Amino acid sequence: MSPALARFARDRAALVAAFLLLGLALAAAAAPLLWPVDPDAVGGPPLLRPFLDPAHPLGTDRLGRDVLARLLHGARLSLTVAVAAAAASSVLGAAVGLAAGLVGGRIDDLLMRITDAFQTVPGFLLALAFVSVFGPDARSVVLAIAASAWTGPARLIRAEIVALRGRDFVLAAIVAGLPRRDVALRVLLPNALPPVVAYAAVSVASAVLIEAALSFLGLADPNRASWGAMIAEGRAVLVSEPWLSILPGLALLSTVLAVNLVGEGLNEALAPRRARP
Amino acid sequence: MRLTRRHLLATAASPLLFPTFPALAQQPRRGGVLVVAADTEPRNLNPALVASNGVFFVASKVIEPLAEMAYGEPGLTPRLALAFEGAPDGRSVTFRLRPGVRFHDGRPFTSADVAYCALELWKKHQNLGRVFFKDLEAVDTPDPLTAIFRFASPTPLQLVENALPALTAVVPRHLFEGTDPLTNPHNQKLVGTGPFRFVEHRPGQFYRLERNPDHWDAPKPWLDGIVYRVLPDRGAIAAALEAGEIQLAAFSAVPLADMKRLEKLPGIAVIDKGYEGITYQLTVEINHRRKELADVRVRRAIAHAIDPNFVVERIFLGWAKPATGPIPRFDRRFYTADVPTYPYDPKRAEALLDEAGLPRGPNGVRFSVELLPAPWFEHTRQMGDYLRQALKAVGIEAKLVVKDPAGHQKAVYTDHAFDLAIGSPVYRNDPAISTTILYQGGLPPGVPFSNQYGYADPAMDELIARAARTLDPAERAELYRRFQRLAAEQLPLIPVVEFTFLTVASTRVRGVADNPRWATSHWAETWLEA
Repeated sequence: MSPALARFARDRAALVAAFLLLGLALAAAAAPLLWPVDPDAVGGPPLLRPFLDPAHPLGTDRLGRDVLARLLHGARLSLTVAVAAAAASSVLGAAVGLAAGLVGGRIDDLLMRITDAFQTVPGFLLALAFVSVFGPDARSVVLAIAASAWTGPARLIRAEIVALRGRDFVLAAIVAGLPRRDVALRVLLPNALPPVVAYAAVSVASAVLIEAALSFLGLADPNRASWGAMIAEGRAVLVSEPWLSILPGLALLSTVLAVNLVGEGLNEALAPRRARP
Repeated sequence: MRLTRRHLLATAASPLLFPTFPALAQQPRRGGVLVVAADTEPRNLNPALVASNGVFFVASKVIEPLAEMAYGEPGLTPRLALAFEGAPDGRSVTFRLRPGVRFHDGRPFTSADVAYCALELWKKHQNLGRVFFKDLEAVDTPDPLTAIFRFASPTPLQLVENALPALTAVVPRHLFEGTDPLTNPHNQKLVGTGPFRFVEHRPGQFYRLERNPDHWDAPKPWLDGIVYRVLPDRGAIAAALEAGEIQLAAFSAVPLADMKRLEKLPGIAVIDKGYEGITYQLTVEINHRRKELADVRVRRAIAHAIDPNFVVERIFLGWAKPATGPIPRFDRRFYTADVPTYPYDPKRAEALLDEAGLPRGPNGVRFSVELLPAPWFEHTRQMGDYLRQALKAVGIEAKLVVKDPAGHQKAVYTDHAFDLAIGSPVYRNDPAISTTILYQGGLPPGVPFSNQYGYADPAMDELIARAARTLDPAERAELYRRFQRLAAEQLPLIPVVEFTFLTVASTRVRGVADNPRWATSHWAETWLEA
C-alpha cells in the first residue's frame, strides 16, 4: 500500500464518505437495472407519500412521476456534470498554470492577470451568464462551471512550478539534456499535480452545488431529471408535501458532504501539511 | 346622422346587474385599507398604452375605460361613457360621455381627452389598439360630452362594444399632449378619473393608492385605499395571507396545490369567479413548416394522444375545463360545441400516424420534434413535461427546449425555431380582438401571440375577413361558429383546456368578483367587513 493510500485509509470519515460516494456512483450508473422505471413517465397516482406503495417506494410528484427513479437519474446527471466540470476545469487550469509557471515573464503576467480578472467575478454569476447565453443543456452547464472554476488549479499549479523549477532534480534533468517538453511534462508536472488532484475533488462538490443551483433556477436540461429542478418543483407544494423538496435536498446534502470529506482526505493524503506519528 | 340602433347602458345602480350576487345586498361599510399581493411591477403602468392584465391589476383602479364588462345582459356597465350609438353603415359610433367627471388633478374630463387617447395613444401605441383601431380615421368632438369615432371601413358595433373594457382607458390629454407618450412620467405616476388616486410606488416594496373622494360614483369607493405589496415568491404570498398581512391575492398568485389547504382555513375563501372575461387557454402551437406537422392527420393524431382530463386533474387540480375550440364556453354569444372533437385515444393516434406514412422506426420512434413550453406559467411548463410523455406513448420523440420569456417569444413568433410549443392565449371578449389573429395567414414575423405557425388557408382567411366586416350581430356570431368548426377541422393549433384564475381572499373582503374581469376592474364596490 502506498503511503498516500495508507494515510487516506486512516481518515475514517473520508473512508466512509468514499464508500458512500462509490455506492452512489454505482447506483447512478446502474439506475436502469436497479430500478427500471422511466423517471419521466407520468402514469402513477399523483403526490403519493414515501414508504406507502412498494411500486413507488419514495412516492410520486404532482404529475405522478416516480421520485426514486428521478432521484437516481438526477444522481447520474449531477455526478456526470460535476465530474466532467471538475476534470475540465482542472485540465484547463493546469494548462494555464503550467504555461505561466514555465515560460514566466510577460506571458506569466498576462496569464495571471487574466486569472485575476476571472477571479473577481463570482463563479456562480459567470456560470449563470454562460448558461443563459448558450442554452441550458448538460454540455453548456459543464462548460459554464469549468469556465468559473479553472482559476484555482491554474494558480495552484503555477505556484508549484515556480517553487519546483529551481530545485536540484529539475536542474539535473535540464543539464542531462532532457528536451524542454519532457522537463515540463515528465519532471515538473507529476510533482506539481498532487495538490491539484486534491483541489479537484473539492471542486466536484462545488460543481454539484452550482449544477443544482442552476437547475433550481430552471437553467438545466429540461429533458433530464435533476435534483435542483426537483427541489424547485417541490417548492410549489412545500407546505403540504414537503418531502418532494426534502428528498432531493438530502441527496444533495449527502453527496456534497461526502465529496468534501473525500477531498479533505485526499488533501491530507497527497499533500500532508503536518507531520504524522 | 340617422341612428338606427341605440344602445343604452344599464346604470351601475341597477339591481338587475348583479342577479347572482345577493351578498352585495348587505350594506357595505366605508373605510379600511385593502392590502393585496402584487407579483409583477410593469415598467409601463399606463393602460392606455399597455393593455395587459399585469398593468390593469393596478392601473384599472386609477384609470377607467369607457365601459366595463358585466354579468348577464347587456354585458356592459357604463364607466366614462353613458351610452353609444352606431351608424347603420358601420362607419361611425357616437359616444355620450358622463358629465361632471374630473381627473385626479382637478381638470375636467371631456371628449377632447377621449379623442386624444383614441388617435394618439390607443391607435398608435397600444398593443391591442394598434390592430383594432387601425381603421379609425378621426374622432369628432361636437361638444365636450360627445365623441364620434369615424372608421375608414365598416366596423361592427358589436366588436366596438366588446373592445370597450380592455382597450379604452382614458388618461388626461393635458398631461400627454406634446410629449413622447412612451417616456411620459405619468406612465408611472398615474392620473385618471378612477375611484382611487395613485400615491406612490416604491420599487420592490409596494404601490399605494388612496380613496378619490370626488369620484363620479360617490359615495363609492368604500375603501380608504389599496396597497399592493410586491411579493414575487408564490410561497411567500400564501404565508402572508395566512398570517393576515395581506387580505387578497388575485390571478392564482398562490400555487394551485396550496389552494385546497387554504380553502379549509377559517377566514380564507378561494373564489373562482371574476375572470371569465379573461379566460386563458392552454394550446399546443404547431409549426406547419415541418413537413410531418403540415399533414392534418398528424395534428389530429397529436390531439388524440393528449388526455385533457389528465391536464385538468393533474396540472390544474380540477380548476380548468377541456376546450373544444378557440372560443371559451363562457362567451355564449359566439361559442359552439358543435365542432369535430378529438377524444383521448392513443390507438387512434397511432393509426392516424401509420396512415400518414410515419411508421415506428426500429427504436420505436416515428419522428422527433423540438417542444418549447412557454416559460411564464407553471401550467405551461408542466404541460410540456406531460406532452413529451403523451407523444412518446404514440411514437413521437419530443425534446424539451426551455428558454426565458423573451427568448421564447423570439424563437416562436419571430424566428419560427420550434416544432411544437405550449402557448397560453387569452380570450378578450371578442374573437376579432384576441383570437382570429392566431388563425389568420400572412402576418409578418415578429407579431407576438399571432399565427406564426406557417399556417395559411384561403377559406379560413376569407371567413375571418368576412366576419370582421359583418355588421349584423347574429350573422357575425354565425360566422364565428363556422370559424370554430373550420378551426377544429383543420386543427392548425390544438386548444387543450381553458382556464381562468383564482382569487384567494380573507372572508372580510366583500364585493369581490362582481364582474367577469373583476381583478382588472376598478374595485369601487369592494369593501372590508369590520
